[in-house]
Amino acid sequence: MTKPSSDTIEPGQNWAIRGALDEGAPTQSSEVTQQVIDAMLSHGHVNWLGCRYLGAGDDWCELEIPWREDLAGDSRAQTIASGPLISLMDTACSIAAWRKIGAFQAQVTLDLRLDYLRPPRAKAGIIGRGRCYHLTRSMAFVRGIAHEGDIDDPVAQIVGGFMRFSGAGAGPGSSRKTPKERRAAESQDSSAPASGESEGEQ
Amino acid sequence: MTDDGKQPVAGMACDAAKEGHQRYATLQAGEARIAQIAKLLPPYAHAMGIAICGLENDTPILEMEFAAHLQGWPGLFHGGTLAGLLEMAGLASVLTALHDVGRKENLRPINHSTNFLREARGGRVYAFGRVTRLGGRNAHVQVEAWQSDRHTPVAEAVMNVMLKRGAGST
Repeated sequence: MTKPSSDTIEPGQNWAIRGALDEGAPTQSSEVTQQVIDAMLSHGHVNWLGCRYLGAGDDWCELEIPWREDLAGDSRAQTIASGPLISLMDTACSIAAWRKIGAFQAQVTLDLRLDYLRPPRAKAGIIGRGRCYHLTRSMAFVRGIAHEGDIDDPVAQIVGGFMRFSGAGAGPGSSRKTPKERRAAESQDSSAPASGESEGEQ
Repeated sequence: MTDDGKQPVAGMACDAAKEGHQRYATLQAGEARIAQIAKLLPPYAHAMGIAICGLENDTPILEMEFAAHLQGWPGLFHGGTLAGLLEMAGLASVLTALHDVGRKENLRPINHSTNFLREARGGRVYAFGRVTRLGGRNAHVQVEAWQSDRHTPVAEAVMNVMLKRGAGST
């Protein structure tokens, strides 16, 4: 395994997903979401897993991870580990939430529970279909099914929740503000628009 | 803002784990044990760069170092990588507990519930699984992952694992 050079992991780099986040305001939802899907699948961990886009609807998204030897969670049984499965379902459900919201928004996974309904087959890739079944102002609740081609013969079922962040610059990886700083910024918002510079703390 | 500069701080978590092994002979036995447990980790763990960095109560502490292929949001570990690390730590603890009582069952996960508590930024993440039940048919593990401060976990998981006797896959 070769470790990619550190310059590719510089935080805050301006790849498409960060660009979409900074834009803040929702634009044409389907276009933005498709861009975001492409950006998500071509970067970082999801890209390394070889994640492929299969389809999406109003509140669902289906992705696939093909089998690879180094994803085995059991070297004797040659079955996929839970880690890639959770990453897949996390991503599929995340996109499903954006589809239901109708726009790209920053959000973080709060919890995910995975129940195995049967063991994965040897040397089989995995397909994950995530669905966002309920939205509140601050949460997106999701369910998902992991299968190997036949959704009526599922490997696992997942349930989970995402915490939503709205507004430009909010969310994971953005510069942190204490509640006090945030209140101060909000009270000055009308007079002085927030500059892009942060103190670089934390 | 990678946490590269903070590595000595992160390393202290391992040193602290090793402090229990005061005598050299014990330490050596500990290293042999780490090598033995490391062989039990599956290919996924190696691909993720997950390694055993120390022992606590004779149970392995796992570590994972940040790399581009583990990234989710810019500069942060992908949640799935944390879940993967927690899974590996949980399984390693169960395997160790079984090994210590001379049992050789195959592990099959029943479920895995992860709570993401904080963002995990750059640097390293550590994980430790506590086997809260080791029964005849199943085991229950509680796993915690943390970065520079052991008492500030970034993620937690609860796992139930089926213990299957025999080499067969049924």
